[in-house]
Amino acid sequence: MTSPIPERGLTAEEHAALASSLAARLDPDRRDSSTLWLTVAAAAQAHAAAAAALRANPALAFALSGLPPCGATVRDARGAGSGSWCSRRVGPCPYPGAAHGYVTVVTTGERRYTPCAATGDLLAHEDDDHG
Amino acid sequence: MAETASEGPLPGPADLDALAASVLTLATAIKPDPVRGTRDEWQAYQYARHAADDLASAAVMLARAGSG
Repeated sequence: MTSPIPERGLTAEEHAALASSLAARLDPDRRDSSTLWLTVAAAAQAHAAAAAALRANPALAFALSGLPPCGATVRDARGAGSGSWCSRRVGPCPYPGAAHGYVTVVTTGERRYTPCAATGDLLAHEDDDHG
Repeated sequence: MAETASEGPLPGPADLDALAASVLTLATAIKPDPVRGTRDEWQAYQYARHAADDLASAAVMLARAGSG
């Protein structure tokens, strides 16, 4: 499958940070029915909901982290080429229990991603000729 | 901490979209008078507007990524 990359919005962490920041403004001792207090409370809860929703979606883990979901097909826009392959660590595996997943490479400018399982890290194999 | 959202079923894109619409309605309702609005009123309005925008964006992201 090709994982669609969503439009860039706030990450789950950014939503969570906003929720925390807003919630920190809500002094329980000064709780009242003012518009400001209620609005901040509503915004905090809304951001917390967004954070929870985004965190729960594995496809977004890729879109927001730049790492592909296991088993997904990704496209690399750098162009085709040939050469030896090198591997580099691109980050910790973001997918718990992703032992069987891997990313297949496609199209132009191949870039392969190996399963996370072996090392716990996601490795990218890139054509040396592409630098 | 605003962790109440972690209780119960997780919201999907439609839920976030509805939430965004709700917060936008709130923002519209509390939009202060351009002349007489207080700082607090404007701040509340801005919080609501920003939250509505962020939620709408999150709903789009979730929908495009697939919620299931």
